[in-house]
Amino acid sequence: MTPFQPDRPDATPCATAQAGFSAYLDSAMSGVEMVAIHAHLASCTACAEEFSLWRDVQRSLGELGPAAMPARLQPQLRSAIAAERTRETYLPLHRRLLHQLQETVAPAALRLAGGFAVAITIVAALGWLIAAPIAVEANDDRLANLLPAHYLYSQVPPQPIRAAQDEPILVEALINEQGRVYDYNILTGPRNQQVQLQVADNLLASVFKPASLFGVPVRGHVVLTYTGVSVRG
Amino acid sequence: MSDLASAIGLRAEEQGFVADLKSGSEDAFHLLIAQYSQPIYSLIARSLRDPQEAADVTQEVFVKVFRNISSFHGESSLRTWIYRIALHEASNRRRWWCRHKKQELTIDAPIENEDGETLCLADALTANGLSPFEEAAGSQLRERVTTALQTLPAAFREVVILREIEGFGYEEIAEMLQVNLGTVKSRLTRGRAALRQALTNDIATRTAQAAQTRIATNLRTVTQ
Repeated sequence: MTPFQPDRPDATPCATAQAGFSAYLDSAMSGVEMVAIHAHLASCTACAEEFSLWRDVQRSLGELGPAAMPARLQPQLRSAIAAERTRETYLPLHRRLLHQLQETVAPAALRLAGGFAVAITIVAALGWLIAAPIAVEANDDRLANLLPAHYLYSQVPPQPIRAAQDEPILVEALINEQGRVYDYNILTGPRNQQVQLQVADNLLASVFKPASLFGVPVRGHVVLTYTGVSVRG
Repeated sequence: MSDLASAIGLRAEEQGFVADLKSGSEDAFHLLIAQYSQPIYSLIARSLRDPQEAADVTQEVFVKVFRNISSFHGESSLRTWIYRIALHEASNRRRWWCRHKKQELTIDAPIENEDGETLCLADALTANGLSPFEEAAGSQLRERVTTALQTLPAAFREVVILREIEGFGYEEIAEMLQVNLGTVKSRLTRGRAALRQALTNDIATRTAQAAQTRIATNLRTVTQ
């Protein structure tokens, strides 16, 4: 059989016809070409026999039919697809990842958020109990157990203070740890030497309970009022 | 006009079906399996040199369809897309066979054909090696055609099967194989010619064998 070489001008009519057998079998050529091949087959016995073989091959293939599928294959395929469906492999990758995120991370995130909130509450409570500074208040004397000094008695009867006129004398006495006056200061009233000597005499004989901090005697001060008495006569 | 309307209706119906498949509908996939498992199995069984593997490859095809249905955007018909996957899987399996089995059997050295495609020598040898029992059982003609079909290079065999057995048109075959129309026509012509040659050789061989058997029988009769 001469091979078909359409580009070559010396191609024989048989080769041209045989090259078109495949398309002729499928009627996949123009009407003119089909008529030409039909005419050639009518006039050329060799090509007619060759075409007959081609047609037999086609008929045989047609009779071959589809290969019989094993009976178990369809249930097997359904089972395989069911397994894939469980794994959600039909979803696009981003949706599958998102879904897995929702399935796994979201519940964990809820638990984490809850745990975090509880932890914050506990830390804040502990901080408030331990670390927060206690505000200093004016009435913290009792807390510090700070007790002021106060007058107890006089070792000699107190003498009235004679002054030029009747007026009160306000004295600030500074008390040491032994409850004795170690200094004084006249805040109001006459401040002459006579008055100061009388005040000093009175203070020297006076006994005080010293001020104390947490039970320990410390220095303190006491404000005393004397009545100035004017003596005329 | 009515053809156009029916085509549009068919397209819309397929779109609905594809949407069901994309949503993972079990019913839709059962329908898909019912509709396509037989033709896909048949195509693969005819394409592979070992039809015993056809069931496994068919399963791989449907799993692949399931996994990749979200990437199907309707550039081709669903049928074409599924057949393309099937042909690709069959091709992969053939390549795997040649790559792995050739280390065990020296006769499997790949031979390059005119298209630059490789085929195994064993394709041709095993194809003619059916047992006498198999020869006797069933239709001898069908077996001879099947055998002859197996001797064709894969590229020709695919086109011949798609055209002659599955009945696809040239355009759809071109779309499935992702080659141009001219290549489909060329492969079909050469495949048919090769098949005709293989069957003629087979008949000649059988005739010669029958003649030899007759001569041997006659000789035995004469000597007795």
